[in-house]
Amino acid sequence: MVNRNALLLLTLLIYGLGNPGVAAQPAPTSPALTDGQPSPSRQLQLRRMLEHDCGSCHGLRLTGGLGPAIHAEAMRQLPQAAIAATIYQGRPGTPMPAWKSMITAAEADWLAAFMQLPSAPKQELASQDQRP
Amino acid sequence: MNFVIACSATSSNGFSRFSRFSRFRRAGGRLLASLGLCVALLACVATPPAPPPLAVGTGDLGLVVERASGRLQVVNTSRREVLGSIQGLGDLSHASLVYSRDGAFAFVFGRDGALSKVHLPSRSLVGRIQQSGNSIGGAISQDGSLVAAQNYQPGGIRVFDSQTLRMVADIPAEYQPGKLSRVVGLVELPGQRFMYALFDANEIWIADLSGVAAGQAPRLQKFKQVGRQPYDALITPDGRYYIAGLFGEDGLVKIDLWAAEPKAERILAGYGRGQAPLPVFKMPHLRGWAIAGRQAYLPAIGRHEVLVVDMDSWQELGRIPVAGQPVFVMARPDGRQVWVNFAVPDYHQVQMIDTQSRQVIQTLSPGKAVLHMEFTPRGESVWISSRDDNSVNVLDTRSFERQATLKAEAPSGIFFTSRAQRSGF
Repeated sequence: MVNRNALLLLTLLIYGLGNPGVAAQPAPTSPALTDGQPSPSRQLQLRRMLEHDCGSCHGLRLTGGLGPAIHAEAMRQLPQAAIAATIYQGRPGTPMPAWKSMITAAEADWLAAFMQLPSAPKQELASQDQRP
Repeated sequence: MNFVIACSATSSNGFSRFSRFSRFRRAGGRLLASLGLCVALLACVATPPAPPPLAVGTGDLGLVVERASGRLQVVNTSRREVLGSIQGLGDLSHASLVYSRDGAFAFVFGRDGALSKVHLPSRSLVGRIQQSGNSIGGAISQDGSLVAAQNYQPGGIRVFDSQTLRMVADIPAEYQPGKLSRVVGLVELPGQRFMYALFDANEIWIADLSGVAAGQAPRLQKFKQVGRQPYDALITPDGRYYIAGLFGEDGLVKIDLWAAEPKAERILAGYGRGQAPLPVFKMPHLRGWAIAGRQAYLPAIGRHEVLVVDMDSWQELGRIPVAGQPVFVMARPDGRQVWVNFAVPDYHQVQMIDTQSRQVIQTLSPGKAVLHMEFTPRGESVWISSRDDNSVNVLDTRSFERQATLKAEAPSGIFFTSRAQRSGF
Protein backbone atom coordinates (compact mmCIF):
# COMPACT_ATOMS: atom_id res chain seq x y z
CA MET A 1 0.00 0.00 0.00
CA VAL A 2 2.83 2.32 0.94
CA ASN A 3 4.57 1.46 -2.31
CA ARG A 4 1.43 2.05 -4.28
CA ASN A 5 0.84 5.42 -2.70
CA ALA A 6 4.43 6.35 -3.25
CA LEU A 7 4.09 5.39 -6.89
CA LEU A 8 0.91 7.38 -7.20
CA LEU A 9 2.55 10.36 -5.57
CA LEU A 10 5.48 10.10 -7.94
CA THR A 11 3.22 9.76 -10.96
CA LEU A 12 1.14 12.73 -9.97
CA LEU A 13 4.18 14.79 -9.16
CA ILE A 14 5.74 14.00 -12.51
CA TYR A 15 2.46 14.76 -14.17
CA GLY A 16 2.07 17.91 -12.19
CA LEU A 17 5.56 19.14 -13.03
CA GLY A 18 5.30 18.18 -16.64
CA ASN A 19 1.93 19.75 -17.21
CA PRO A 20 1.93 23.41 -18.11
CA GLY A 21 -1.63 23.72 -16.80
CA VAL A 22 -0.39 23.41 -13.25
CA ALA A 23 1.90 26.37 -13.59
CA ALA A 24 -0.84 28.36 -15.27
CA GLN A 25 -3.02 28.01 -12.20
CA PRO A 26 -2.00 29.98 -9.15
CA ALA A 27 -1.19 27.52 -6.41
CA PRO A 28 -3.27 28.43 -3.36
CA THR A 29 -1.06 29.47 -0.50
CA SER A 30 -3.31 27.80 2.04
CA PRO A 31 -6.15 25.34 1.58
CA ALA A 32 -8.52 27.14 -0.73
CA LEU A 33 -11.46 26.57 1.59
CA THR A 34 -11.40 30.16 2.71
CA ASP A 35 -10.76 31.96 -0.53
CA GLY A 36 -13.33 32.41 -3.30
CA GLN A 37 -15.08 29.26 -2.33
CA PRO A 38 -18.22 27.95 -4.02
CA SER A 39 -21.60 28.74 -2.52
CA PRO A 40 -22.89 26.28 0.09
CA SER A 41 -25.35 24.74 -2.35
CA ARG A 42 -22.65 24.35 -5.00
CA GLN A 43 -20.41 22.78 -2.36
CA LEU A 44 -23.08 20.20 -1.74
CA GLN A 45 -23.28 19.51 -5.46
CA LEU A 46 -19.52 19.13 -5.68
CA ARG A 47 -19.49 16.76 -2.74
CA ARG A 48 -22.22 14.75 -4.36
CA MET A 49 -20.22 14.67 -7.59
CA LEU A 50 -17.21 13.48 -5.66
CA GLU A 51 -19.16 10.69 -4.04
CA HIS A 52 -21.09 9.49 -7.06
CA ASP A 53 -19.41 10.61 -10.27
CA CYS A 54 -15.82 10.29 -9.07
CA GLY A 55 -17.04 7.29 -7.10
CA SER A 56 -18.08 5.43 -10.22
CA CYS A 57 -14.40 4.89 -11.05
CA HIS A 58 -12.71 5.52 -7.71
CA GLY A 59 -15.25 3.70 -5.54
CA LEU A 60 -18.10 5.17 -3.56
CA ARG A 61 -15.84 5.23 -0.51
CA LEU A 62 -13.04 6.57 -2.73
CA THR A 63 -10.93 3.53 -1.97
CA GLY A 64 -10.11 2.97 -5.63
CA GLY A 65 -11.40 1.07 -8.63
CA LEU A 66 -10.42 1.66 -12.20
CA GLY A 67 -8.86 4.81 -10.80
CA PRO A 68 -6.62 4.87 -7.71
CA ALA A 69 -7.76 5.48 -4.14
CA ILE A 70 -8.57 9.16 -3.64
CA HIS A 71 -9.59 9.21 0.01
CA ALA A 72 -8.17 11.89 2.32
CA GLU A 73 -5.24 9.77 3.41
CA ALA A 74 -4.08 9.33 -0.18
CA MET A 75 -4.85 12.91 -1.12
CA ARG A 76 -2.88 14.41 1.75
CA GLN A 77 0.25 12.91 0.21
CA LEU A 78 -0.20 15.07 -2.88
CA PRO A 79 0.08 18.80 -3.43
CA GLN A 80 -3.36 20.36 -3.60
CA ALA A 81 -2.48 22.02 -6.90
CA ALA A 82 -1.66 18.65 -8.49
CA ILE A 83 -5.02 17.27 -7.38
CA ALA A 84 -6.86 20.32 -8.66
CA ALA A 85 -5.04 20.15 -12.00
CA THR A 86 -5.84 16.47 -12.38
CA ILE A 87 -9.52 17.12 -11.72
CA TYR A 88 -9.68 20.12 -14.00
CA GLN A 89 -7.59 18.86 -16.91
CA GLY A 90 -7.68 15.10 -16.57
CA ARG A 91 -4.73 12.83 -17.13
CA PRO A 92 -4.05 12.12 -20.79
CA GLY A 93 -3.39 8.49 -21.53
CA THR A 94 -5.49 7.33 -18.62
CA PRO A 95 -9.28 7.10 -18.22
CA MET A 96 -9.24 10.20 -15.97
CA PRO A 97 -11.21 12.83 -17.91
CA ALA A 98 -10.95 16.60 -17.68
CA TRP A 99 -13.91 17.92 -15.68
CA LYS A 100 -13.51 21.52 -16.84
CA SER A 101 -16.72 21.38 -18.85
CA MET A 102 -18.61 20.86 -15.59
CA ILE A 103 -16.63 22.74 -12.94
CA THR A 104 -14.52 25.86 -12.79
CA ALA A 105 -10.84 25.99 -11.87
CA ALA A 106 -11.79 27.58 -8.54
CA GLU A 107 -14.22 24.75 -7.86
CA ALA A 108 -11.53 22.20 -8.69
CA ASP A 109 -9.27 23.96 -6.17
CA TRP A 110 -11.98 23.84 -3.55
CA LEU A 111 -12.68 20.17 -4.26
CA ALA A 112 -8.97 19.32 -4.07
CA ALA A 113 -8.73 21.00 -0.67
CA PHE A 114 -11.91 19.30 0.48
CA MET A 115 -10.57 15.93 -0.55
CA GLN A 116 -7.60 16.43 1.75
CA LEU A 117 -9.79 17.10 4.76
CA PRO A 118 -10.14 14.21 7.19
CA SER A 119 -12.72 11.90 5.69
CA ALA A 120 -15.86 14.03 5.76
CA PRO A 121 -17.62 12.16 2.96
CA LYS A 122 -16.60 8.78 4.28
CA GLN A 123 -18.24 9.32 7.63
CA GLU A 124 -21.59 10.13 6.08
CA LEU A 125 -21.46 6.92 4.14
CA ALA A 126 -20.35 4.94 7.13
CA SER A 127 -23.43 6.04 9.03
CA GLN A 128 -25.62 4.50 6.35
CA ASP A 129 -23.67 1.31 6.18
CA GLN A 130 -25.61 -1.42 7.93
CA ARG A 131 -22.72 -3.84 8.02
CA PRO A 132 -22.55 -5.72 11.30
CA MET B 1 -40.46 -27.14 -10.57
CA ASN B 2 -42.87 -26.65 -13.43
CA PHE B 3 -45.35 -28.77 -11.63
CA VAL B 4 -45.17 -26.69 -8.48
CA ILE B 5 -45.72 -23.54 -10.46
CA ALA B 6 -48.70 -25.08 -12.21
CA CYS B 7 -50.16 -25.90 -8.84
CA SER B 8 -49.59 -22.45 -7.52
CA ALA B 9 -51.61 -21.01 -10.35
CA THR B 10 -54.68 -22.61 -8.85
CA SER B 11 -54.03 -21.16 -5.41
CA SER B 12 -55.03 -17.81 -4.01
CA ASN B 13 -53.42 -14.55 -5.03
CA GLY B 14 -49.70 -13.95 -4.86
CA PHE B 15 -49.75 -11.71 -1.85
CA SER B 16 -51.32 -14.17 0.53
CA ARG B 17 -49.00 -16.86 -0.74
CA PHE B 18 -46.11 -14.69 0.14
CA SER B 19 -47.24 -13.83 3.63
CA ARG B 20 -47.85 -17.48 4.28
CA PHE B 21 -44.34 -18.13 3.13
CA SER B 22 -43.01 -15.50 5.46
CA ARG B 23 -44.71 -17.07 8.44
CA PHE B 24 -43.28 -20.38 7.41
CA ARG B 25 -39.83 -18.99 7.15
CA ARG B 26 -39.99 -17.70 10.68
CA ALA B 27 -41.03 -21.10 11.90
CA GLY B 28 -38.23 -23.16 10.49
CA GLY B 29 -34.93 -23.59 8.72
CA ARG B 30 -33.95 -24.69 5.31
CA LEU B 31 -34.58 -28.39 6.00
CA LEU B 32 -38.13 -27.60 6.99
CA ALA B 33 -38.46 -25.47 3.91
CA SER B 34 -37.49 -28.29 1.59
CA LEU B 35 -39.77 -30.68 3.48
CA GLY B 36 -42.49 -28.13 3.00
CA LEU B 37 -41.86 -28.09 -0.72
CA CYS B 38 -42.23 -31.90 -0.85
CA VAL B 39 -45.43 -31.70 1.16
CA ALA B 40 -46.68 -29.01 -1.21
CA LEU B 41 -45.90 -31.21 -4.16
CA LEU B 42 -47.65 -34.19 -2.60
CA ALA B 43 -50.59 -32.07 -1.62
CA CYS B 44 -50.98 -31.07 -5.23
CA VAL B 45 -51.07 -34.65 -6.35
CA ALA B 46 -53.51 -35.81 -3.72
CA THR B 47 -55.89 -32.87 -3.46
CA PRO B 48 -55.55 -30.48 -6.42
CA PRO B 49 -57.28 -27.44 -4.90
CA ALA B 50 -55.08 -27.30 -1.78
CA PRO B 51 -52.80 -24.25 -2.07
CA PRO B 52 -49.18 -25.25 -1.66
CA PRO B 53 -47.66 -23.08 1.05
CA LEU B 54 -44.24 -22.64 -0.52
CA ALA B 55 -45.09 -22.26 -4.16
CA VAL B 56 -43.42 -18.90 -4.59
CA GLY B 57 -41.81 -18.80 -7.98
CA THR B 58 -38.75 -16.67 -8.62
CA GLY B 59 -39.30 -15.89 -12.29
CA ASP B 60 -40.73 -12.44 -11.71
CA LEU B 61 -38.39 -11.32 -8.97
CA GLY B 62 -35.47 -8.97 -9.17
CA LEU B 63 -33.00 -6.94 -7.17
CA VAL B 64 -32.38 -3.22 -7.14
CA VAL B 65 -29.02 -2.06 -5.82
CA GLU B 66 -29.16 0.85 -3.38
CA ARG B 67 -25.57 1.78 -3.93
CA ALA B 68 -24.90 4.12 -1.05
CA SER B 69 -26.71 2.09 1.58
CA GLY B 70 -25.17 -1.33 1.07
CA ARG B 71 -28.66 -2.68 0.53
CA LEU B 72 -30.65 -4.56 -2.09
CA GLN B 73 -34.35 -4.23 -2.66
CA VAL B 74 -36.20 -7.38 -3.64
CA VAL B 75 -38.84 -6.48 -6.20
CA ASN B 76 -41.64 -8.27 -7.99
CA THR B 77 -41.93 -7.35 -11.65
CA SER B 78 -45.50 -8.59 -12.14
CA ARG B 79 -46.93 -6.55 -9.30
CA ARG B 80 -44.32 -3.81 -9.70
CA GLU B 81 -43.65 -3.55 -6.03
CA VAL B 82 -40.92 -3.82 -3.45
CA LEU B 83 -41.14 -6.98 -1.37
CA GLY B 84 -38.46 -6.04 1.10
CA SER B 85 -34.75 -5.49 1.40
CA ILE B 86 -31.53 -7.29 2.15
CA GLN B 87 -28.97 -5.34 4.12
CA GLY B 88 -25.32 -5.42 5.01
CA LEU B 89 -23.68 -5.69 1.60
CA GLY B 90 -20.97 -3.06 1.99
CA ASP B 91 -19.77 -0.76 -0.80
CA LEU B 92 -22.16 -1.31 -3.67
CA SER B 93 -20.93 1.38 -6.03
CA HIS B 94 -20.64 -0.32 -9.38
CA ALA B 95 -22.08 -3.47 -7.83
CA SER B 96 -23.25 -6.16 -10.16
CA LEU B 97 -24.66 -9.58 -9.59
CA VAL B 98 -25.43 -12.89 -11.23
CA TYR B 99 -28.17 -15.40 -10.46
CA SER B 100 -28.15 -19.07 -9.62
CA ARG B 101 -30.01 -20.95 -12.31
CA ASP B 102 -33.06 -21.46 -10.08
CA GLY B 103 -33.28 -17.70 -9.72
CA ALA B 104 -33.51 -17.99 -5.96
CA PHE B 105 -29.99 -16.87 -5.14
CA ALA B 106 -27.91 -13.97 -6.34
CA PHE B 107 -24.16 -13.53 -6.06
CA VAL B 108 -23.33 -9.90 -5.49
CA PHE B 109 -19.92 -8.49 -6.34
CA GLY B 110 -19.19 -5.42 -4.24
CA ARG B 111 -16.68 -2.75 -5.05
CA ASP B 112 -15.01 -3.48 -1.71
CA GLY B 113 -14.08 -6.96 -2.88
CA ALA B 114 -16.83 -8.77 -1.00
CA LEU B 115 -18.80 -11.59 -2.59
CA SER B 116 -22.22 -11.93 -1.02
CA LYS B 117 -24.81 -14.61 -1.61
CA VAL B 118 -28.40 -13.61 -1.03
CA HIS B 119 -31.63 -15.60 -1.09
CA LEU B 120 -34.49 -13.71 -2.73
CA PRO B 121 -37.57 -15.58 -1.48
CA SER B 122 -36.53 -15.22 2.17
CA ARG B 123 -34.80 -11.87 1.56
CA SER B 124 -31.74 -12.91 3.47
CA LEU B 125 -27.98 -12.70 3.24
CA VAL B 126 -26.84 -16.32 3.36
CA GLY B 127 -23.12 -16.00 2.71
CA ARG B 128 -20.46 -13.34 2.51
CA ILE B 129 -16.73 -13.50 1.98
CA GLN B 130 -14.09 -10.86 1.51
CA GLN B 131 -12.53 -12.23 -1.63
CA SER B 132 -10.35 -9.32 -2.78
CA GLY B 133 -9.54 -5.69 -2.17
CA ASN B 134 -11.47 -4.30 -5.10
CA SER B 135 -13.89 -6.08 -7.38
CA ILE B 136 -15.85 -5.02 -10.40
CA GLY B 137 -18.21 -7.85 -11.25
CA GLY B 138 -18.45 -11.51 -12.00
CA ALA B 139 -19.98 -14.38 -13.88
CA ILE B 140 -21.53 -17.77 -13.19
CA SER B 141 -20.56 -20.92 -15.06
CA GLN B 142 -22.85 -22.53 -17.63
CA ASP B 143 -23.84 -25.27 -15.17
CA GLY B 144 -24.23 -22.84 -12.28
CA SER B 145 -21.65 -24.58 -10.13
CA LEU B 146 -18.90 -21.94 -10.20
CA VAL B 147 -18.98 -18.23 -9.56
CA ALA B 148 -16.04 -16.13 -10.75
CA ALA B 149 -15.18 -12.62 -9.59
CA GLN B 150 -13.09 -10.21 -11.64
CA ASN B 151 -10.80 -8.12 -9.54
CA TYR B 152 -8.87 -4.90 -9.84
CA GLN B 153 -6.99 -5.45 -6.62
CA PRO B 154 -5.27 -7.84 -6.72
CA GLY B 155 -5.69 -8.02 -10.48
CA GLY B 156 -7.08 -11.36 -11.59
CA ILE B 157 -10.04 -13.63 -11.18
CA ARG B 158 -11.04 -15.84 -8.30
CA VAL B 159 -13.46 -18.69 -8.70
CA PHE B 160 -15.76 -20.04 -6.03
CA ASP B 161 -18.03 -22.98 -5.45
CA SER B 162 -21.50 -21.49 -5.83
CA GLN B 163 -22.92 -23.64 -3.04
CA THR B 164 -20.37 -22.94 -0.33
CA LEU B 165 -18.43 -19.89 -1.61
CA ARG B 166 -15.26 -21.90 -1.04
CA MET B 167 -12.51 -20.67 -3.37
CA VAL B 168 -11.61 -23.28 -5.97
CA ALA B 169 -9.16 -21.25 -8.05
CA ASP B 170 -7.14 -18.06 -7.80
CA ILE B 171 -5.83 -16.89 -11.17
CA PRO B 172 -3.71 -13.73 -10.94
CA ALA B 173 -3.65 -11.71 -14.16
CA GLU B 174 0.13 -11.67 -14.12
CA TYR B 175 1.19 -10.44 -17.53
CA GLN B 176 4.77 -9.67 -16.64
CA PRO B 177 6.71 -10.99 -13.67
CA GLY B 178 5.18 -9.37 -10.60
CA LYS B 179 2.75 -7.21 -12.60
CA LEU B 180 -0.97 -7.84 -12.23
CA SER B 181 -3.53 -6.33 -14.55
CA ARG B 182 -6.97 -5.11 -13.61
CA VAL B 183 -9.53 -7.49 -15.06
CA VAL B 184 -12.66 -6.41 -16.97
CA GLY B 185 -15.23 -7.97 -19.27
CA LEU B 186 -15.54 -11.32 -17.49
CA VAL B 187 -18.06 -13.70 -19.10
CA GLU B 188 -18.75 -17.40 -18.88
CA LEU B 189 -18.16 -19.71 -21.83
CA PRO B 190 -19.66 -23.14 -22.41
CA GLY B 191 -18.04 -25.70 -20.16
CA GLN B 192 -16.43 -24.53 -16.98
CA ARG B 193 -14.65 -21.71 -18.75
CA PHE B 194 -14.41 -17.98 -18.21
CA MET B 195 -13.14 -15.33 -20.58
CA TYR B 196 -11.91 -11.86 -19.60
CA ALA B 197 -9.80 -8.92 -20.66
CA LEU B 198 -6.74 -7.45 -18.98
CA PHE B 199 -7.02 -3.66 -19.02
CA ASP B 200 -3.36 -3.04 -18.25
CA ALA B 201 -1.91 -5.80 -20.41
CA ASN B 202 -3.88 -5.46 -23.66
CA GLU B 203 -4.64 -9.16 -23.45
CA ILE B 204 -7.68 -11.43 -23.35
CA TRP B 205 -7.57 -14.71 -21.49
CA ILE B 206 -9.68 -17.85 -21.32
CA ALA B 207 -9.48 -19.87 -18.11
CA ASP B 208 -10.67 -23.45 -18.34
CA LEU B 209 -11.57 -24.86 -14.95
CA SER B 210 -13.00 -28.16 -16.07
CA GLY B 211 -10.17 -30.11 -14.45
CA VAL B 212 -10.20 -28.26 -11.16
CA ALA B 213 -12.59 -30.66 -9.44
CA ALA B 214 -10.12 -33.46 -10.27
CA GLY B 215 -7.26 -31.50 -8.76
CA GLN B 216 -5.81 -30.07 -11.96
CA ALA B 217 -4.74 -26.46 -12.29
CA PRO B 218 -6.86 -24.15 -14.49
CA ARG B 219 -5.70 -24.11 -18.11
CA LEU B 220 -5.13 -20.66 -19.61
CA GLN B 221 -5.33 -19.58 -23.21
CA LYS B 222 -4.01 -16.07 -23.87
CA PHE B 223 -4.62 -13.66 -26.71
CA LYS B 224 -1.94 -11.01 -26.72
CA GLN B 225 -1.76 -7.50 -28.15
CA VAL B 226 -5.50 -7.37 -28.74
CA GLY B 227 -5.61 -3.57 -28.67
CA ARG B 228 -4.97 -0.85 -26.15
CA GLN B 229 -6.80 -0.84 -22.82
CA PRO B 230 -9.80 -3.14 -23.24
CA TYR B 231 -12.34 -1.66 -20.80
CA ASP B 232 -15.31 -4.03 -20.99
CA ALA B 233 -16.60 -6.84 -23.14
CA LEU B 234 -19.62 -8.86 -24.11
CA ILE B 235 -20.36 -12.32 -25.35
CA THR B 236 -23.02 -12.68 -28.04
CA PRO B 237 -26.13 -14.61 -26.98
CA ASP B 238 -25.03 -17.69 -28.94
CA GLY B 239 -21.68 -17.69 -27.14
CA ARG B 240 -19.81 -17.32 -30.41
CA TYR B 241 -18.24 -13.86 -30.37
CA TYR B 242 -16.41 -12.15 -27.56
CA ILE B 243 -16.22 -8.42 -28.24
CA ALA B 244 -14.15 -6.05 -26.14
CA GLY B 245 -14.24 -2.28 -26.30
CA LEU B 246 -10.92 -0.46 -26.32
CA PHE B 247 -10.37 2.66 -24.30
CA GLY B 248 -6.92 3.41 -25.68
CA GLU B 249 -7.88 3.46 -29.35
CA ASP B 250 -10.75 3.85 -31.76
CA GLY B 251 -12.06 0.38 -32.32
CA LEU B 252 -13.14 -2.86 -30.77
CA VAL B 253 -11.70 -6.34 -30.83
CA LYS B 254 -13.62 -9.54 -31.48
CA ILE B 255 -12.72 -13.17 -31.08
CA ASP B 256 -14.74 -15.82 -32.94
CA LEU B 257 -14.82 -18.73 -30.53
CA TRP B 258 -16.29 -21.06 -33.12
CA ALA B 259 -13.29 -20.62 -35.42
CA ALA B 260 -10.91 -23.56 -35.71
CA GLU B 261 -8.23 -21.31 -34.29
CA PRO B 262 -9.79 -18.33 -32.55
CA LYS B 263 -7.82 -15.12 -32.92
CA ALA B 264 -8.26 -11.48 -31.93
CA GLU B 265 -9.44 -9.32 -34.82
CA ARG B 266 -10.02 -5.59 -34.85
CA ILE B 267 -13.45 -4.30 -35.79
CA LEU B 268 -14.61 -0.73 -36.39
CA ALA B 269 -11.01 0.42 -36.33
CA GLY B 270 -10.80 4.17 -36.47
CA TYR B 271 -14.48 4.84 -35.82
CA GLY B 272 -13.53 8.20 -34.38
CA ARG B 273 -11.84 9.10 -37.67
CA GLY B 274 -9.06 10.93 -35.98
CA GLN B 275 -11.29 13.42 -34.19
CA ALA B 276 -10.27 14.17 -30.64
CA PRO B 277 -12.51 12.13 -28.36
CA LEU B 278 -14.54 13.88 -25.68
CA PRO B 279 -13.55 13.30 -22.08
CA VAL B 280 -15.17 10.08 -20.94
CA PHE B 281 -17.02 10.73 -17.70
CA LYS B 282 -18.12 7.16 -17.30
CA MET B 283 -16.88 4.02 -18.98
CA PRO B 284 -19.55 2.53 -21.21
CA HIS B 285 -20.77 -0.94 -20.33
CA LEU B 286 -20.84 -3.53 -23.03
CA ARG B 287 -22.21 -6.16 -20.77
CA GLY B 288 -25.85 -5.43 -21.29
CA TRP B 289 -25.22 -6.12 -24.94
CA ALA B 290 -27.52 -4.94 -27.65
CA ILE B 291 -27.62 -7.61 -30.28
CA ALA B 292 -30.74 -7.06 -32.35
CA GLY B 293 -31.15 -9.57 -35.13
CA ARG B 294 -27.86 -9.63 -37.05
CA GLN B 295 -26.81 -6.22 -35.85
CA ALA B 296 -24.85 -5.17 -32.83
CA TYR B 297 -25.42 -1.73 -31.30
CA LEU B 298 -22.34 -0.53 -29.47
CA PRO B 299 -21.51 2.61 -27.52
CA ALA B 300 -18.86 4.80 -29.18
CA ILE B 301 -16.41 5.76 -26.48
CA GLY B 302 -15.82 9.50 -26.16
CA ARG B 303 -18.55 10.40 -28.65
CA HIS B 304 -22.25 11.02 -28.67
CA GLU B 305 -22.93 8.09 -30.94
CA VAL B 306 -24.14 4.53 -31.04
CA LEU B 307 -22.38 2.39 -33.64
CA VAL B 308 -24.29 -0.19 -35.64
CA VAL B 309 -22.34 -3.20 -36.87
CA ASP B 310 -23.39 -5.96 -39.22
CA MET B 311 -22.53 -9.24 -37.56
CA ASP B 312 -21.97 -11.16 -40.79
CA SER B 313 -19.48 -8.82 -42.43
CA TRP B 314 -18.45 -6.98 -39.23
CA GLN B 315 -18.62 -3.73 -41.17
CA GLU B 316 -20.11 -0.55 -39.78
CA LEU B 317 -23.67 -0.08 -41.01
CA GLY B 318 -24.04 3.36 -39.58
CA ARG B 319 -23.85 5.49 -36.50
CA ILE B 320 -26.73 7.02 -34.66
CA PRO B 321 -26.32 10.43 -33.05
CA VAL B 322 -27.59 10.36 -29.45
CA ALA B 323 -28.05 12.82 -26.60
CA GLY B 324 -24.80 12.18 -24.76
CA GLN B 325 -22.06 9.64 -24.16
CA PRO B 326 -23.76 6.26 -24.12
CA VAL B 327 -23.24 4.09 -21.06
CA PHE B 328 -25.68 1.22 -21.53
CA VAL B 329 -26.94 0.32 -24.98
CA MET B 330 -29.48 -2.43 -24.42
CA ALA B 331 -31.85 -4.25 -26.73
CA ARG B 332 -35.37 -5.02 -25.61
CA PRO B 333 -35.52 -8.83 -25.45
CA ASP B 334 -37.21 -9.02 -28.87
CA GLY B 335 -34.56 -6.78 -30.46
CA ARG B 336 -37.08 -4.33 -31.90
CA GLN B 337 -35.89 -1.48 -29.71
CA VAL B 338 -32.55 -0.43 -28.31
CA TRP B 339 -32.49 1.77 -25.22
CA VAL B 340 -29.58 4.03 -24.36
CA ASN B 341 -28.65 5.90 -21.22
CA PHE B 342 -25.85 8.40 -20.78
CA ALA B 343 -22.93 9.57 -18.72
CA VAL B 344 -22.99 12.72 -16.61
CA PRO B 345 -24.00 15.49 -17.48
CA ASP B 346 -26.61 14.08 -19.88
CA TYR B 347 -27.85 11.34 -17.60
CA HIS B 348 -31.30 12.76 -17.02
CA GLN B 349 -32.28 11.40 -20.43
CA VAL B 350 -32.91 8.03 -21.96
CA GLN B 351 -33.29 7.48 -25.68
CA MET B 352 -34.93 4.71 -27.62
CA ILE B 353 -33.71 3.60 -31.04
CA ASP B 354 -36.04 1.83 -33.42
CA THR B 355 -33.95 -0.95 -34.94
CA GLN B 356 -35.93 -1.01 -38.19
CA SER B 357 -35.30 2.63 -39.09
CA ARG B 358 -32.13 2.87 -36.96
CA GLN B 359 -33.24 6.21 -35.63
CA VAL B 360 -33.89 7.63 -32.21
CA ILE B 361 -37.66 7.75 -31.99
CA GLN B 362 -38.13 8.59 -28.33
CA THR B 363 -36.29 10.81 -25.88
CA LEU B 364 -37.49 10.47 -22.34
CA SER B 365 -36.62 12.19 -19.08
CA PRO B 366 -37.52 9.58 -16.54
CA GLY B 367 -35.61 11.15 -13.66
CA LYS B 368 -32.34 12.62 -12.47
CA ALA B 369 -29.11 10.64 -12.84
CA VAL B 370 -30.35 7.57 -14.67
CA LEU B 371 -27.85 4.82 -13.97
CA HIS B 372 -29.37 1.62 -15.31
CA MET B 373 -32.23 0.04 -17.21
CA GLU B 374 -33.61 -3.47 -17.08
CA PHE B 375 -36.31 -5.07 -19.20
CA THR B 376 -38.91 -7.41 -17.83
CA PRO B 377 -38.34 -10.95 -19.13
CA ARG B 378 -40.40 -10.47 -22.28
CA GLY B 379 -39.85 -6.75 -22.60
CA GLU B 380 -43.26 -5.17 -22.05
CA SER B 381 -41.76 -2.88 -19.42
CA VAL B 382 -38.45 -1.29 -18.70
CA TRP B 383 -37.33 -0.41 -15.19
CA ILE B 384 -35.11 2.65 -14.96
CA SER B 385 -33.13 3.66 -11.89
CA SER B 386 -32.83 7.33 -11.13
CA ARG B 387 -30.17 7.84 -8.51
CA ASP B 388 -30.78 11.49 -7.68
CA ASP B 389 -34.56 11.12 -7.58
CA ASN B 390 -34.28 8.15 -5.26
CA SER B 391 -36.67 6.24 -7.43
CA VAL B 392 -37.11 3.47 -9.93
CA ASN B 393 -39.58 4.17 -12.72
CA VAL B 394 -41.35 1.47 -14.65
CA LEU B 395 -42.25 2.42 -18.21
CA ASP B 396 -44.36 0.68 -20.82
CA THR B 397 -42.00 0.04 -23.75
CA ARG B 398 -44.75 0.51 -26.34
CA SER B 399 -46.66 3.54 -25.05
CA PHE B 400 -43.77 4.94 -22.92
CA GLU B 401 -46.29 5.63 -20.19
CA ARG B 402 -45.19 5.37 -16.60
CA GLN B 403 -46.61 2.26 -15.02
CA ALA B 404 -45.18 2.63 -11.53
CA THR B 405 -42.67 4.55 -9.45
CA LEU B 406 -40.90 2.76 -6.65
CA LYS B 407 -38.91 4.45 -3.93
CA ALA B 408 -35.29 3.44 -3.56
CA GLU B 409 -32.31 5.13 -1.96
CA ALA B 410 -29.80 6.18 -4.66
CA PRO B 411 -30.59 3.16 -6.85
CA SER B 412 -28.07 1.95 -9.42
CA GLY B 413 -28.19 -1.52 -10.98
CA ILE B 414 -31.45 -3.37 -11.56
CA PHE B 415 -31.20 -7.11 -12.12
CA PHE B 416 -34.11 -9.44 -12.83
CA THR B 417 -33.97 -13.18 -12.30
CA SER B 418 -34.56 -13.77 -16.02
CA ARG B 419 -30.81 -13.18 -16.30
CA ALA B 420 -30.36 -16.62 -14.75
CA GLN B 421 -31.31 -18.19 -18.07
CA ARG B 422 -29.31 -15.90 -20.34
CA SER B 423 -25.70 -16.49 -21.35
CA GLY B 424 -23.37 -13.61 -20.64
CA PHE B 425 -25.55 -12.16 -17.89
